[in-house]
Amino acid sequence: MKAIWTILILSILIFSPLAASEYDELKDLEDQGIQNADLYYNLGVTYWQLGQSGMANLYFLRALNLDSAHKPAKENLNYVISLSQDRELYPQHLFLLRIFWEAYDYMNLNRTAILTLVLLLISALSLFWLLHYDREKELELPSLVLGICLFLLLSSSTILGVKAYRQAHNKKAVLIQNVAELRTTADYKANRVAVIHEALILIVEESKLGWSLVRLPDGSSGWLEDADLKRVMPLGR
Amino acid sequence: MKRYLLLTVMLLPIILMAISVTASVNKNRLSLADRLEYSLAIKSDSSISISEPSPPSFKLFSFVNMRSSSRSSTTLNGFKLETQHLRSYIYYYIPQKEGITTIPAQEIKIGNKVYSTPAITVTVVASASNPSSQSSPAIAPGFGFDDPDLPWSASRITGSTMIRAYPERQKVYKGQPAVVSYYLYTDQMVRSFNLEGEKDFPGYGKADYESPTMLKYETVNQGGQRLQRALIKRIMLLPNETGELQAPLVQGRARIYEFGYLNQKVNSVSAWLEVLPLPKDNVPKNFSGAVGSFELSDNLSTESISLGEAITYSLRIAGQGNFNQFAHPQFPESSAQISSPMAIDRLNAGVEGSRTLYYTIIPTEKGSFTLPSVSFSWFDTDRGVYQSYTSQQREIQVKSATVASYFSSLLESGKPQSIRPMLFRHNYPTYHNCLKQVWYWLVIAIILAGTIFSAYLVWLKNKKHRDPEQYNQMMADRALRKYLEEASEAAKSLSQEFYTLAQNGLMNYLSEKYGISLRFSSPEKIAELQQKKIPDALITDLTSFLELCERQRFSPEKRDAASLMQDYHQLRRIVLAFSKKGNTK
Repeated sequence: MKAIWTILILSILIFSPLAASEYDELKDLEDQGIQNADLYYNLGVTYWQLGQSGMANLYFLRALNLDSAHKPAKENLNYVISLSQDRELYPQHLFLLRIFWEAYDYMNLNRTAILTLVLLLISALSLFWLLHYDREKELELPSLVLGICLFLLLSSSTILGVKAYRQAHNKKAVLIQNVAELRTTADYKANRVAVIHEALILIVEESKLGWSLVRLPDGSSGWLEDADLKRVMPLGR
Repeated sequence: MKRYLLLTVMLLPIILMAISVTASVNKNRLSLADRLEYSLAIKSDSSISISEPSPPSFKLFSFVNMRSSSRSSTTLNGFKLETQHLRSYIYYYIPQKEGITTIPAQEIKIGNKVYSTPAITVTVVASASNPSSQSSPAIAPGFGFDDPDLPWSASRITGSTMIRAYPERQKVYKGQPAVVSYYLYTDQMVRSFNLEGEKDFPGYGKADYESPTMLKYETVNQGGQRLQRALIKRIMLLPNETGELQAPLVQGRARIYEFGYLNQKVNSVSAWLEVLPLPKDNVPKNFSGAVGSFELSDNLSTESISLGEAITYSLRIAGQGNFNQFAHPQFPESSAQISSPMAIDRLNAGVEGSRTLYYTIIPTEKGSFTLPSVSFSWFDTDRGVYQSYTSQQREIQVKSATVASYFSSLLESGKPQSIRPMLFRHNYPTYHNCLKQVWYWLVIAIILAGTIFSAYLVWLKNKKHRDPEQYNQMMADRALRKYLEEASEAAKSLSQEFYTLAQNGLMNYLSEKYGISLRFSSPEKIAELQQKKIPDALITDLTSFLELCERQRFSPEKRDAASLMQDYHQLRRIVLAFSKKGNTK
């Protein structure tokens, strides 16, 4: 493990000047207000090359927030997590559950929106078919088709609503300090709950007076200074 | 009474027996270089029979050894012989650190009685000289090292202990790892050795190679002398300068046992290596400083993938060499995105073992992709020449991406990975959320409107099918609203304009319904209607109504309200009758 970090540091030293110039270009684009998953992804890779795993994770998450099907961002995020000190905190999902989440992520917001549109059209056509169906015949088949279409439409609409809400109100944040202490209350003197390390992904549940109540991937929660973390969706965006 | 007197006489010697137990230390204030002697002395007029007291344990000191002695003396005091028995126990302690400690009170049981000694406070201060140096401990004269009774008296320590350094090779190339072994040689009973420091010299980098946790002795002959030898350390030197190189000197303390323990400081003897420069001839272009003895092999995770998927190419470098002093080989430019290598090491001391470099390759076009060869050069220290390894070019079939390829990572989670490289993008268009686009909601609106309109048509159709009368009435009302609205308004206001408006509206309705040209005169239109298989009675009613309208338009006499409303209802009946006929254009 020590040797890995040695190589990592060496590669960081080698690639840092190169990464810094690319970083400036990409950062300029971001400062112009461009929101693009590939831009965020490349910024994440650049931050990784500069040795800032927390910022790298943040930008991979930003890329995934815009496009949850961004496979390179997801793979790099998983890679950075696998090297992080707090990797044991992340829950391990069952295979079937992983397939479900993969499918959920594959259907990013725009794909789900288009699917919903298509399902709406198919549902309308099914309704039209049912209404104009020969009254002398049994209505089971068109009713069944319409029912299935409406069910799929309802599911798709619900997922679309959830995805749109979560994209607009993404509560994820990333720890950018090397080490931070989680406390029971928003106070320096409060008892320590846990010591967490850079690049850990957190869920911000509440914020007040420069502190945030965050939930760790393992479900435990505590208060952390705002300066120690960066949100995927900055406040006020 | 006699019985008690006899018992008292028998126990008198015991009752009168004088026993005293005292405890003392050689010093109440001593330095770290001193030894503490804690003495228990038991004096009795009669013989003493007790078991040996266990050595007391207390803070700041560690117990070393103990000894006991017993003496008896008899003196003539007047006409009485007095015998004194003395039993002493002396416990030896070595101070471990500075501070104040208290030797607890000891309880000595003699017979059925327990005797207590007072607690003694002892202060330990820093020694003026080297605290660990115990070759000449400050022991009180008369009961210290000079005491011939002491088992570890300095005069009794014999033999020698030394450290020797042995480089694995006397000649090495610059950058070539060299193992130096440090052995402890002794003819004494060295129970443990504590390494305290290393003195380094310029011209090398070093790493720990082996550090035994205990001394494992072997018997060797050294200069005709039979000695015990144990490895205490192996270090790996990486020479970075040519010429004579002195190996680090190590120093430590040997804990020697000779009826007691003694710490002895030991320094290693100097050892030298000769560092040769690397040959300047035939240096490969891609040589990046690797020196050692290596074997290389490579592997490709798959040779057929879908577009967007990643392949892992691994290059394994195994052997002994300066693994941390050369650059990793890079692939030449190609159409695919190839990441910088991620190194996974299985190395001992950073010089021996294997390093596997993982490259992530992402083809950007479908079809056949040729993975270029990658080469690595090093100086082979065994052969004394430069060597090169060049991988074979690989053909990779890249298929079109499918939905399933997105999920391919599910089955590859256990494989080693590296960070994926950056994506080549000429521009970064701003992300557009479909839900915030006008076209999206317009399409939804059109679909919903079409659905509602379709449902309305079906509703009309059903209505006509289920209740034709009501349907016709509705259609007549609609026709009246469309064509005869003004006439209806005129009728309700009892205006004579009703007849003109009714005639025009009715003819427009019929022209529209049956596709009759508006340029025809009323008789011509009626003639056209007759050809449309309209019932004669309806034609007659229409003709009568039109004639009535014609008359009233030019008649100076105005119809009364009742007649006008009657005429309006007649108009409705005619429209309703035509509505029932349906559209026969």
